[in-house]
Amino acid sequence: MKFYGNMIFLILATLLFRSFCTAQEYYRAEEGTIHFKSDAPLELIEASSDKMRGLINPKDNSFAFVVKINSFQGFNSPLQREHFNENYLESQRYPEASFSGRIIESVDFTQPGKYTIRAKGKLSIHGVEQERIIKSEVVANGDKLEVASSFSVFLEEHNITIPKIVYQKIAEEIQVEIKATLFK
Amino acid sequence: MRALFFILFFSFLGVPAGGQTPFFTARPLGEVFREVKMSLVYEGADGFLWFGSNKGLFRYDGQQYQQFLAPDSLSNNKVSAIFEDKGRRLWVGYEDGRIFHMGPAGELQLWQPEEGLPSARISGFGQGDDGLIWIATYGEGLYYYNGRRMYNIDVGDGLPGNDIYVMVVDQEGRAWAGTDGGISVCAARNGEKEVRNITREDGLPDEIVRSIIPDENGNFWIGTYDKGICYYDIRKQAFSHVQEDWSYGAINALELFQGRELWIGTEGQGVIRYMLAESRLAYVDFEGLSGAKVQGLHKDCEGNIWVVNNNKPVYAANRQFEIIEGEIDNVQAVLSTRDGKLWVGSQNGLYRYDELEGAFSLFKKENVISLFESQSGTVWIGTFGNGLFCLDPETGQERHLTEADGLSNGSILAIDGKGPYIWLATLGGVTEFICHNDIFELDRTQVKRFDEASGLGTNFIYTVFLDSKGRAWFGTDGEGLSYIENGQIHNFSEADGVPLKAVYSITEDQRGHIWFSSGQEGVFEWDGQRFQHLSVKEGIRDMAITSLATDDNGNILIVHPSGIDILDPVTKHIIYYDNEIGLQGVEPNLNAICRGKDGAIWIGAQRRLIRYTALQEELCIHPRTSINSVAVFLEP
Repeated sequence: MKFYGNMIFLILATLLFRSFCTAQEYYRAEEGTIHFKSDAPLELIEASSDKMRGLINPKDNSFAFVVKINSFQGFNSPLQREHFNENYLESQRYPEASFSGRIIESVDFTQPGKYTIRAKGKLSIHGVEQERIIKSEVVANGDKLEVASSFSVFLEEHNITIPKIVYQKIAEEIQVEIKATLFK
Repeated sequence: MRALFFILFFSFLGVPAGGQTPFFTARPLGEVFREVKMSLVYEGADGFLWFGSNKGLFRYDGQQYQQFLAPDSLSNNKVSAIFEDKGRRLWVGYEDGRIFHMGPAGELQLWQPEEGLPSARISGFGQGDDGLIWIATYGEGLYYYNGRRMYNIDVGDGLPGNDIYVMVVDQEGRAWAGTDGGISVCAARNGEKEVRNITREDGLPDEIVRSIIPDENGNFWIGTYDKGICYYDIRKQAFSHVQEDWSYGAINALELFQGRELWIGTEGQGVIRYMLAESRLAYVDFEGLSGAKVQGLHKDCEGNIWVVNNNKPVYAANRQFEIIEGEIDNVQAVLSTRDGKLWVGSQNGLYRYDELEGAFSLFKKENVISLFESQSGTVWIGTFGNGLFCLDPETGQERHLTEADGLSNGSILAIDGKGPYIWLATLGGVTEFICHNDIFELDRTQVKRFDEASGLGTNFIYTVFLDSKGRAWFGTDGEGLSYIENGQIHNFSEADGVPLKAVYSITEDQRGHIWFSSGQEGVFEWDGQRFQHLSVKEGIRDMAITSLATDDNGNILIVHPSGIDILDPVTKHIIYYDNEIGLQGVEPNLNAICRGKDGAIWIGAQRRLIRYTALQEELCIHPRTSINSVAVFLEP
């Protein structure tokens, strides 16, 4: 049931995304970057994707960001990337990670400036939704928004299980950074 | 002029003044902080009081205030919420949404959760048994923090509004948030949010809920913007104590004294007390709070009520003691009858006190020195030299008894009784009335007399006290303590090696031990086998004890010209009350003391009546050690 719920959410998010793209009042990003780091005692693993897409609707403070799991590059070896996709994130079954919701603060992005905002929404990874508040820095400059954020993800919160044997090679808490430039 | 205004003010409002009022004293910050406006008060587990102000956080140790500023002192230092969690970590919320913790070295440290901090005013904190920290904001709804993540509950989750005025956490860990649209009961269980709203449709008298306070049963008293107070029973999900005609404005703060009264801080009409037993409202009759906008109320662990208000400064009063001042000279006897009336005897007459009016009226012109209410409701009035009057307050029927009717003497210093047995201590011995019927049928009343000839040490008897075993105890002038049991008289002329002379006052603790005071030797305890003497060495600070009484908590009140001491009869710990509760220069009269039906103890003095109430709350009376810093070889 949870699985179907997540699928419905993803479909809706995608539809929403497409409809957003047609409207000029929204800020959108097609090539945002997302970077994660697993800093375990025996190994540091890093990977990035520049395929993150995002939308912000300033009218109702809603937002949606989505990235394909198999778009992550980096890792310490091709085998590690394969394990990431097949064993841990199961990207065939859960192809995307997404975060959508609403910005808590009421910010007028038409006013140039640097804002600290908090985005409250559902973070969906590995088919498991978690409500999160993610603090972000937003630089507004005319029709452009530059968004930067860093946050952590606990693997257990998204039912990503790690074999005991690799405990010391994969951190339980993954550090994530995103950067995106959104245009009207 | 101010007094006139005060009278007119209360007359106009039509709300009775409280009559007796705790003695309020100002706790000013001092000249250095004259720009500071306090806005809230919170008590830590260590007994320190924390105050939030427009100029930072203050800690009050009972003597002085210490200011704590946020590290970036140029920024907003308006403290809007204070809380200590179960781990004794202090949370300090600010007007701009920042939250600080008190560091180990006494410095405020900004809390920096990954999720960031709210940007709206922090309006409250709370914590349930599950450890979740709840954070209320005025503008962003509620947050909860599980030690790792912070989550938000707002209108999107079902709150009727994001402006939270007040929040408390119940015994099941649910947050009760007062909003502009009613009360939201919020919970976070197994990662799921639950929000249930209680609105006018459910019986809440007003949507705007400004204050919520739990009672000892886990139910809530609620203060609203426009419709006063109400009480919500969680189990029954029902409201009661709804005020039909509330005209005292918005409620900003509530504080509860268990089983007795609710203190209500209003937006601009000072403080009102709601007497729970009588469902009656009464203004707190203190000029310093007249018309005040009350921002915070707090009951501390010593029984003090603290009032933070816009009139500055902070005021505090010990709730246990209330005073009616300046009405009657030389109060010699007091009696609180079962119908709640208060009778006061003085040299000038017998007065009756109307609590609603806050005024005394002369009832009888006699030199009244003792008072007692019989089981039938008859008031027994002992005079100095003119015998005894028995009065039926209902019918006005009165009977005057003198030595001709069997009294030992016309000067009756004390009266006590149980059931049909009523004992009179006089300057001519002891008289016992056995009136199975009405005293007005004297021919059916049995009268017995005991005096020196019967075996008492003297005929001058100061006091009489009937204990729980049916013994009648007497305090004599110069001949110690006596009691009569089964018609046999027993005298004690010595106790714990101390010769007994005058014995002024007698009481009994909850273990059945007899306590009495002597002329100048302090207090004695008799456990049925042996005496124990308590004097200066044991902490009795004034030997001129005028009366003793036992309160509802089983403690012994020791009244003397230096004030009132409360003695724990088991541990022998004593706490002193004097100037800080308004008892400076108190001149209590001998055995001018009584116990009312509500357990309150009334004490008569010169131009002053003192009402003592034993609070149900467990008070902490002992000084506590607090180590704030350590220095070794003069190095911090």
